[in-house]
Amino acid sequence: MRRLWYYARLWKGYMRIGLLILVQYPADTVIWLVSMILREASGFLGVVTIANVAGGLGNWNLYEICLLFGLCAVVEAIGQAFFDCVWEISGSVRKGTMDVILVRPAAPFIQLLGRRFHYPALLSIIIYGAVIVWALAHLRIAPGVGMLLFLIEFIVCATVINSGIYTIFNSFNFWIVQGEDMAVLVQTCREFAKYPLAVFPVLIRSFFTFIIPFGFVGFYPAAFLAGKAGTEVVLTLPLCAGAVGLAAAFIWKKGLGSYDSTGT
Amino acid sequence: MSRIADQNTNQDSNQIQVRHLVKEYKRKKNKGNVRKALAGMFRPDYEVLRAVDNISFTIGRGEAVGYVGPNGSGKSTTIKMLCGILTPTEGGILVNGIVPQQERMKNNKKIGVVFGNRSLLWWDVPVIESYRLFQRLYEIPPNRFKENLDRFTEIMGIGPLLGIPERQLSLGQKMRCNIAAAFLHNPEIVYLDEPTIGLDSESKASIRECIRRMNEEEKTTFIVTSHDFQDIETLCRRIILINHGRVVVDDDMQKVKLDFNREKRIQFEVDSNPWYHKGMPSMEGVRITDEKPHSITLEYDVEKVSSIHIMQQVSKLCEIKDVAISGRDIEAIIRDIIRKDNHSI
Repeated sequence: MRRLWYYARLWKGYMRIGLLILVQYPADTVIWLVSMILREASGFLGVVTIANVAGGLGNWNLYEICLLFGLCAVVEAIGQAFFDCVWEISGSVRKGTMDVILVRPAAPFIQLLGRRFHYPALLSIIIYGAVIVWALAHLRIAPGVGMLLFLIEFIVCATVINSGIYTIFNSFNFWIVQGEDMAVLVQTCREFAKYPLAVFPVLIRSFFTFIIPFGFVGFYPAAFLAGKAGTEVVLTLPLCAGAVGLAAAFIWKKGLGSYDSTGT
Repeated sequence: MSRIADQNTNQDSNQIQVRHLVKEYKRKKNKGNVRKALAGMFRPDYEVLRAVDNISFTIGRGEAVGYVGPNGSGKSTTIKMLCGILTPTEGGILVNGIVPQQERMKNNKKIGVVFGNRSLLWWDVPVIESYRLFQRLYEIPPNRFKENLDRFTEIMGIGPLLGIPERQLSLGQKMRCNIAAAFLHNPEIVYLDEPTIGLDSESKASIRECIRRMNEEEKTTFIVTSHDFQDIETLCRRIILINHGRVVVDDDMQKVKLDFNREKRIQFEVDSNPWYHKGMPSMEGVRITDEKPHSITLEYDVEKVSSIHIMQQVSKLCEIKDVAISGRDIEAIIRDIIRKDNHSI
């Protein structure tokens, strides 16, 4: 309990620093925000255009696709707001700045995350939240306590899965210097997760379910909300999050153990 | 020559115990041509580099130890293992009775670290904000934080800098802010890795003063690595010299000076150097260390040859305008020990 209080206070401190940085570089903040929205929206527009022309993808209609997109994007935005620093593992290992984290009395992973927050991403969370609500309304899915609980479960578990996968692949940098390329490859693969996986061959579908489970970040939860999948989603989501979370923690710890710093 | 840890003495006199410490790095072999380098991408060929090779020593509470050696001798590697950043390949480290790698966070609460070439502060925000975050990180009570902040702001003279973001500070100012940061949580041990690298003499002096005071007033233990032997000479009573990852000397500074100071240095200002570009005829116990058209610097062993004899020899060939004789400083002594050690390998 005392530990929890300690980290809460520490997190507050990091958020304060993050806010100060934000105010220091206003232009940077605006550019970041615009590029982030453009990046997500461009992918989305492609899908929507195809769905509009073809009248849907597989048995997914336009609003269902919007729902899927909204879920995916909200999780990515949360990751960008609070977990973006896992992308800095590569640079920290190469330049040896991980040293700084390792001489301080707090969990290294928390310190890594606290390096930088992207507050502008909070705005995108709101935008994509609105997309989800809008899609749900058009799909005539009645809001209720059950749905709200599921959405909370989804946000927590999908964030763990999404950022956990990034952590795993970025942690490979501890062994292969310049391993960031692999993590970028994984992020590129994630584009698949924005489409209904059901339209892809079994091989691709299994890959995003069992190997790199991006399917749980959008497709399965959206299918559940749209009534295309049963309650098994409610159960498998936390299981998957647990597995990815444990794997990420294990690989991160192993990586720190074999951290070699740099000559000074 | 190293002091082997005595297991029976209490923790107070053995605050840091290092036993048979080894650290090996794997390094990919450089292939020399592109074709081989490409092949190496798939079947890498590693060579093992032993940066630290069987080092043992103990350091007691309140000691100030200079940890010196040439570039690449394993100084920083040792310091990083002591802080818990790197995991030793073999051997053991105990700091305050715990293994830093296993209980890193517990160990970190009691240590302060200063890297001469790496800042521990936040780049974009005013220095005071970094300090406030340190207060949270180390759970420093508000009263003590204020007390320490006032104290070190004064010692390091950084009062006017607290409101400025680190990126706008000069190198010396940055370093002073970093040193103050390392003391805010009353650490028991402070590791300083090249704390004065690239600083002017005024900044160096204020940093040395701070360290000396903390060592005397708070009995803080210090381990300092530096290339600046004046740092080591003013701060440390004990010196550990390492070369090729091995301890060569571990002794009291004064004793090292006495033991190795059999040599003196003599410097002549002359009208024209007769040996310039020709080389000097060998004289037993004498070595040329520097020669220019109008000056000659020699080092000689006082037990083998007298200064009068050298002066006579020189005055035969040219006109001496000025002479200076000096004992060698610790830097020259260390250089000599290293040279002998390199020969014996």
